[in-house]
Amino acid sequence: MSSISTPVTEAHEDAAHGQHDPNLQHHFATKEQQFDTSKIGIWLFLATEILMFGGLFVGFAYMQSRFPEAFFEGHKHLLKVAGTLNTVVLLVSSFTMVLAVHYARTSKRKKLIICLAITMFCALIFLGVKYIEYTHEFSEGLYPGRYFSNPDDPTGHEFIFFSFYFMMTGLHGIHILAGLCVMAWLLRRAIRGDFSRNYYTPVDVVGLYWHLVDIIWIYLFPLLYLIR
Amino acid sequence: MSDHTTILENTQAAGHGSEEAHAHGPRNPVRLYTLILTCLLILTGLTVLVAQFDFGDWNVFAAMIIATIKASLVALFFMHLLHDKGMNAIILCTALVFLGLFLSFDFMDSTTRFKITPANGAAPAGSDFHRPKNLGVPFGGAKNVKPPPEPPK
Repeated sequence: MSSISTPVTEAHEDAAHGQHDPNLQHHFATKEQQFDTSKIGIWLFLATEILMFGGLFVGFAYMQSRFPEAFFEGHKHLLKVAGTLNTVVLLVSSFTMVLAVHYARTSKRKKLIICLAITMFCALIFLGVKYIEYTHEFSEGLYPGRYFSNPDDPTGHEFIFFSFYFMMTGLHGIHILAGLCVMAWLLRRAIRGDFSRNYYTPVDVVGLYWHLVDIIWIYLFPLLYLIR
Repeated sequence: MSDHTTILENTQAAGHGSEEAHAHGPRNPVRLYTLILTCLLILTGLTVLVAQFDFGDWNVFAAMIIATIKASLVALFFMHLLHDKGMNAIILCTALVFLGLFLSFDFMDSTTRFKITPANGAAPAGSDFHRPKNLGVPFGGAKNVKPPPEPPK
């Protein structure tokens, strides 16, 4: 109550705050609050991502239990080595991403840039391997749905497996691509020197997204490539 | 206005306190992250190894248990959930609870179904899904359906 009587002093104080932190937006009281809000925001987004992929996983589980032989026969066409390689590549990229967050938080600009670059390189490898896989599958006539034209299909239902395979890996691939774009933006800002222990929210938030994409692949890999 | 500023100062003070708490993450993060990556790679190898053997119905369970351990490692350490504020974990768990509901209700449905014979007896006995012959007619069902018998005149 007593402070109400001193509006002038406060206005003065505000003006004295001339060197206002450019990274603190005006609708947040503190940096801490701003950081926590961003984190809650990205976690809510990740929750919607889980539910979106969840629908595909539930559909997969249903159809797999209904046509186990077709799914088993279908998965034999996939390149297991490529799938394993991509799993390792994504895990390593998650590792370099978490290092990037760590180096951003400890104001190590050079190491942050290197880690971001390695993460992007891993993402590119992942997409490259995926391209090789898709080319291989298309060449065998393994298309989704009614476009499926592989003559060697003893069950007659392999097209269902490949519908799920292309939907799930395709949607996941789009997420990798989106992550790549956002990381290019991060890299540009990191080179410009935007991030330090005072402000590294974008790196942290993109890192969380990237780890979720990794987690989704952790489930996709055994389900699609290794099922029996 | 001034009240707002007092609150602002208070939260700033609180903010400083928790900023210090925030720094209390892992003692040596780089070493911890390397350890986690090693675990993840070993578990990946284990998944591939386990898939070589046939455990019958347990194949999927084994694969999913290993995948869940891997996902938990990523979430707890790489996504900082272990050292983070609880709110983020609550959001994640809520999403997982609803995904679990979705999965379990779907499972209850799919395991308690019985074959439905169309009233007009059009589908051949023992038939299940059919591969679509064209996309306009889902599962070729409508094509096989005989028109209902004409009422006797």
